[in-house]
Amino acid sequence: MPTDDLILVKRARDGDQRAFQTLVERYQRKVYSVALGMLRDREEARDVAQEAFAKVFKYLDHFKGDSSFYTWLYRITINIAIDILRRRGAAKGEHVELDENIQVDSAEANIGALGSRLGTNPQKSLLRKELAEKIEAALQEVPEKHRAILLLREIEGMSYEDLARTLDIPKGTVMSRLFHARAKVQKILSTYLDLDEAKSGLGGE
Amino acid sequence: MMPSAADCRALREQLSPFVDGELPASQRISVERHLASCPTCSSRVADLRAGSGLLRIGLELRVDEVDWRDFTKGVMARIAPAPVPFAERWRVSLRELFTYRRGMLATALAAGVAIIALAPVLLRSPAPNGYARQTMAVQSVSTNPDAHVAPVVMAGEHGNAIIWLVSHKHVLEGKAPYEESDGVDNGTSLPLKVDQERKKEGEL
Amino acid sequence: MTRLGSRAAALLLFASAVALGAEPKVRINAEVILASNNGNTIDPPALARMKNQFSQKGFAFTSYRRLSSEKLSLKREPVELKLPNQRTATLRLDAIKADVATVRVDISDLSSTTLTMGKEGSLFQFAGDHDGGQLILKLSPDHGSQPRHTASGISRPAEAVARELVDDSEPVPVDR
Repeated sequence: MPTDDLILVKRARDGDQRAFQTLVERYQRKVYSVALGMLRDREEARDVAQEAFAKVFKYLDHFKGDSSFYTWLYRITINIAIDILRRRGAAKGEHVELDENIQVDSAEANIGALGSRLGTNPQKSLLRKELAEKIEAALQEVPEKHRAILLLREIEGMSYEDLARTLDIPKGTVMSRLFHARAKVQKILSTYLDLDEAKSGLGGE
Repeated sequence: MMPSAADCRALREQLSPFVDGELPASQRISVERHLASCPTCSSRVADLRAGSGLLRIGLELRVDEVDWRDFTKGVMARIAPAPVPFAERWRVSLRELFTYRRGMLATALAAGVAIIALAPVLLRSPAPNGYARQTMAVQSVSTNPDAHVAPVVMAGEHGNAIIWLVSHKHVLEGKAPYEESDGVDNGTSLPLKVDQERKKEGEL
Repeated sequence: MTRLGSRAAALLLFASAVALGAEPKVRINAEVILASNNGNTIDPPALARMKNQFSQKGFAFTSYRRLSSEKLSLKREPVELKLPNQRTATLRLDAIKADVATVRVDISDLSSTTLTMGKEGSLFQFAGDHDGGQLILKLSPDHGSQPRHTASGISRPAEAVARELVDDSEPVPVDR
């Protein structure tokens, strides 16, 4: 797939707009998902996603083609999103960074509960619309840099190596940020799902 | 071999890269061995997968709400200098049709066939085959309650989707999910272990 | 020239007839794959791509074997695919609206999935145990036109490190 991306990029550079449109169609859903996860607002996410593609097109000539197109695309998307978050004055982002060093033991309260919750009939227990809203809300609680990694991993399935490249951080940081982001999201989702009552019976630590 | 709480603590941070398939082989094998006899950590793995599943499902619901053709048009509009009005495009297409396919059409005209009425059909994509959409999309999944499984829908690349059926039975009942048989090392991924156990109980 | 003309006319009429409504049906590829930890066989080799995708999602299967593969033409009338684990996959075309086909897949006593077909994207539906592993039913598009990208595996190019990327992203606003 990455090779095909590069072929399309080359054609787009030579003026083939149809080739660029193909790239857009290929990545639009995922780019939007990432933007939405970062910003929560659907209109803003749509705007950011379209803007990311527009920027990519504008700077197509600068893309050297010896790395993946999609890491470049996502990097731009994340940058634009983080830019907006900062302008929003999300000081929360800065402060919560400290969380990284705090033990995540509080997430331990409901081990296995989330997994078992998924075992009950999803139609009955989770309203689809509510789920979307709760996920978006939970994501907002995660510091922006952790959020970015989590989204790229879950939506695009990026390898740790690609994640490191896209965000320009060491692989070890990728690993620990993912771990903390997931622990945080799990804690929040468990609370939402009112799992204190529905404890699965498995012992805590 | 009962895992100690210290073992579990030491492994905790590895469970995340384990689920992502990013652990080097030797570490992955130690984790798998630990999971084989540790219901707590196995449940954590199930939690991780469930969390991923929920996150993806939640975002996918939003993605489905968007008109993607409209979105693409929006992007192309941002990069194109002057958008061509629709009527103008229609006229251009017809002209192209008459210019490039003149041979066939001119000949048809000569044979006295009225093709004007068919022009819209020609301009649409060829014979409908059900594939007008760009990407496959899962609309709904439901499971048989007696099967005691829940669907986890995962999105892959190229618009792929994986519908995994996760059994919650072993988690709810706190059973050890894995039992070695015939010395064959079968126990790795969670669904596999569970099904071995259910098979033993004569469920499948 | 008249003969060519009448053939062209026939072609046009035929095309319109097809467009205006023969019996609705959708073509689809169905493969049954056994994923397990019995050995390391990847057969056929093209399944390495599937293994890659699955391991990314946390599935640690070591062996992927394709047990069967067939092209199906789905209509309203259900088509049954017997699975090696005594279950049956029942497939049918629910509807075609605006040239988008909606397909329904039932795995007996297990699950029921509805999907809309697209030019790209396959469905990997878990279908129960078999032979120490898991059966997976893979449904892929068969729309007859050229695939947009080659099936040459999904492995990321093992390129050298990010310095180039940094240069690439130079014109883009970087974190302030």
